[in-house]
Amino acid sequence: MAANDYYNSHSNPYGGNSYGYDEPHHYNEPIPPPAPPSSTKPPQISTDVSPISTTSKYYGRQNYSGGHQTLGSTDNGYYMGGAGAASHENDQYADNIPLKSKYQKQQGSDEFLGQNTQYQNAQYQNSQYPPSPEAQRPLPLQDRPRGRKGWFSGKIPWVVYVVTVVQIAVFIAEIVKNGTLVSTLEVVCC
Amino acid sequence: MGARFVPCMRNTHGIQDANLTVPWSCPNTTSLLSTDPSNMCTLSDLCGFAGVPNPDITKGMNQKPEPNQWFRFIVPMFLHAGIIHITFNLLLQLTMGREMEMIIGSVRFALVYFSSGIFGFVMGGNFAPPAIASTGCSGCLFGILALTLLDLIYSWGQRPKPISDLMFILLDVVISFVLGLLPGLDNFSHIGGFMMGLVLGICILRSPNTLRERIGLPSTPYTPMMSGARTNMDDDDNGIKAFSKKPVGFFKGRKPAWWAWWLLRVGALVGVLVAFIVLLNNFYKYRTTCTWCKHLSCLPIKNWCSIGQIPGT
Repeated sequence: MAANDYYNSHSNPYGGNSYGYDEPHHYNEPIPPPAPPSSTKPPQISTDVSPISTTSKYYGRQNYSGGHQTLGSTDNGYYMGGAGAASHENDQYADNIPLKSKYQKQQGSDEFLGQNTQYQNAQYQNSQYPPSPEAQRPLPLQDRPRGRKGWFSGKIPWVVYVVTVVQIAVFIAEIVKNGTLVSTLEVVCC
Repeated sequence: MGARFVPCMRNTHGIQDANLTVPWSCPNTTSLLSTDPSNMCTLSDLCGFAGVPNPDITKGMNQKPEPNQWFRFIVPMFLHAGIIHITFNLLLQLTMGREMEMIIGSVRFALVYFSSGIFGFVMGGNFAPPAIASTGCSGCLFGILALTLLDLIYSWGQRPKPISDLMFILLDVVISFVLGLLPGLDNFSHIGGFMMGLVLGICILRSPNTLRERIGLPSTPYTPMMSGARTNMDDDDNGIKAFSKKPVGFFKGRKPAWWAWWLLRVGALVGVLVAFIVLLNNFYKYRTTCTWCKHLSCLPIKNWCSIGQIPGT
């Protein structure tokens, strides 16, 4: 990807393997340390940020490949390594202060699922928490598994299923009992 | 078979204190005529199960023992009155209900589901005309609908199209309410379920996201749905685990908004308990009713609003 090349050419310490989007379910990384404090540079919500945003499709499913310990992220405390490659001077600034507070005010809270424009993915720095819990946040509302394939995967809604089964069973019993009472059905068994 | 049917649950004005013994439909009746012999059964026959004491008209309203099939507040959740009834309810349950349970977890869901259902029937028992039998899980589903509404409000800022979500919910409520005005549908259980769902939801749902930012709690949803790994971070500061580990520490350093929200929750819980107690007391002891209440569930067309009145009252 163009963005990848761009950052690799800047001797990206992440070694270009920062885009773990194709492996969304590796959540067994140890929780990486919080984004190191960024330098006191003023935030640069400039064009160098936006190329990355196009690469981070699933903001919620980004995960850490190994090399993201030093999130030498800048002003935008990219907690996601994948997008964190925005900072090209990461080597020198080991103590980046996460500007979460500033960005939270600027952008409101778009931590929740629905609000996922790609631009905002790149700006995803308003987290004050270690990244991986949010990395593991479920997909945006519209991407959650719906329909048939979601029925028995992930969290299973036991109560709903059990209650539904009971209700259907009782309904059948109602019909049968009514049938026997008004002699429509002949009781054969039991 | 267990529907909410007041005459099987307590002495009812018009039955125990009537001038003549009220005949009841037999379970095997196929006729609507009140003069048909298959409609001349006793109350005990109709109520079924282990039977109820048949009303003795010489003894008046305070005769004991009273019919007391209290389970008729609970069992009707599992009964339905027809294919359409059950189809609609199950559709809603398997879509909205499933989604909600996956969000908030089984325990909370079950709590709201059953409480709303029972409360809906308690409301109906108190305020609906006495000879209407009521069944269905729509009270429960209305409670869950209330949770959906609360969840929408709490996460308003994070939704891409909150207004359209709200419109859906409101449309749902309006349609159900209007349908409930038709004869044969009991709005009280809807209303009761919805109210209970709202109040319980305030009590047990996570705080609104705007509040969470202000008081420094993470805004992550209840537990991440997609991941297999658990997040420990949330448990460290919040939740039952943290509370049991260091009870006093749990309360330290909390912002006023946190306290205010917890106060609201406690208030809601108290409200729930009070509502249940008051209505159950009213049902069994005080028997106050309101004459206009039936209009919440019927339209004054033809004789719709006199359905369910015991003849002679």
